[in-house]
Amino acid sequence: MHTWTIKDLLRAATPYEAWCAPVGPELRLGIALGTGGTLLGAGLLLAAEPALAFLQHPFWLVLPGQAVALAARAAAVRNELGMVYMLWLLAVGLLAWPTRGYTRAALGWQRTLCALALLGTLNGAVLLAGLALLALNAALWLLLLMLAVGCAVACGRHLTRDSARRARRSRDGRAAH
Amino acid sequence: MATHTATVQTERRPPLLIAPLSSADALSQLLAVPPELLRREQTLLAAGQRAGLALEPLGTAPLFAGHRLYPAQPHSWLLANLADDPLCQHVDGYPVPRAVLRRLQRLHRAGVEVDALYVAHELEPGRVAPGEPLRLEQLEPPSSAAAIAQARRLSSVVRWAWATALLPLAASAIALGTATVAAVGLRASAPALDPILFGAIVAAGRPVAPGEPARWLILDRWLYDAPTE
Repeated sequence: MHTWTIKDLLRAATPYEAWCAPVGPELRLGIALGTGGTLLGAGLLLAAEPALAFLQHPFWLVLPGQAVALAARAAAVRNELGMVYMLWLLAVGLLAWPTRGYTRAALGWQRTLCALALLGTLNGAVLLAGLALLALNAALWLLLLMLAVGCAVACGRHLTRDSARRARRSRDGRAAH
Repeated sequence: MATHTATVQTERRPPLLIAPLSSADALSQLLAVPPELLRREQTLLAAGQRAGLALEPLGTAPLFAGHRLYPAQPHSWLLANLADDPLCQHVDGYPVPRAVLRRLQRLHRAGVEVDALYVAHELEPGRVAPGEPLRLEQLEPPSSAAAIAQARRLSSVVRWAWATALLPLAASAIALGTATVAAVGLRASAPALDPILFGAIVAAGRPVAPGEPARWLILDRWLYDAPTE
């Protein structure tokens, strides 16, 4: 007859406080939505890639002084941390993806993924700041463009008025003679 | 245990009877308890007392393999040789509260060792039918309150993280938050179980085999739905 001793039990036991039974049928919904969330998060980021690339086009970075530095920083942030950000999205999505219920191992994964998510949140904030800087950069560029256009228009009008004034003076002078 | 019957007083339940299990068991009960078996029991009790841990002696009953069902109201009891308990095969290990594990470790360090461990599982009537093979799912306790609380905390972190993650992308996080809430639907409403852990010892030199007279002791008991920490 096979028997267990106290030592055997101590070796095979798991603290009940950390022990979880499998979840019920609602697990299927969790798996479906978790999978969908993971794919959606990754898909959205992939879809955002062209927009980010467009914002980082060198054409937009042709700005003097601090604006160029800010834009370059934003580009560096995206290049260096963009992949981490995507991994973070996947990790957060996986949090909602318990493969076989909240077992002890699943909870261990949850803790790990939560740590990743917290790090990713910081990364996301930096990326958000980078995007904001890119937007600021674009706004500054647009402002500069508007100023340039405005200047051109004003200059054009001035030149037009000056030319008309000269022409009028010329006509008046000829008439006086 | 004078009439081969031991009464285990539980806190909330009617007493559990370890009655003569069969005619063969009853015959074995008629045998005189070997003095060396009683001496060994006294040695174990003394070791437990030195460690400040009281053991409850029950009496003499024969060892058996497998498990035996004791139908009762409002709950039935399943007494199983721990080595044959399906819960031992659980992928996450045998669930035992930390306080009980600490007590068992102290007993082990104090030199209290038994030849066989048995466990009595409290079951809802009809959950285990006589004559049917015992399945792991029938004995799984509910998830611990601590684990449920932890999963809910982590779920809130996930929802917050999702919302933060999708904010720069201007996507809705409502559906995904719902997903995490659904995913932590732990089985919190499962019936409470009230296991009792027994130790059995045989006389020195005697085989640990079915039918062998043994002295039985209660090592500990706990509630699965009430985490001790």
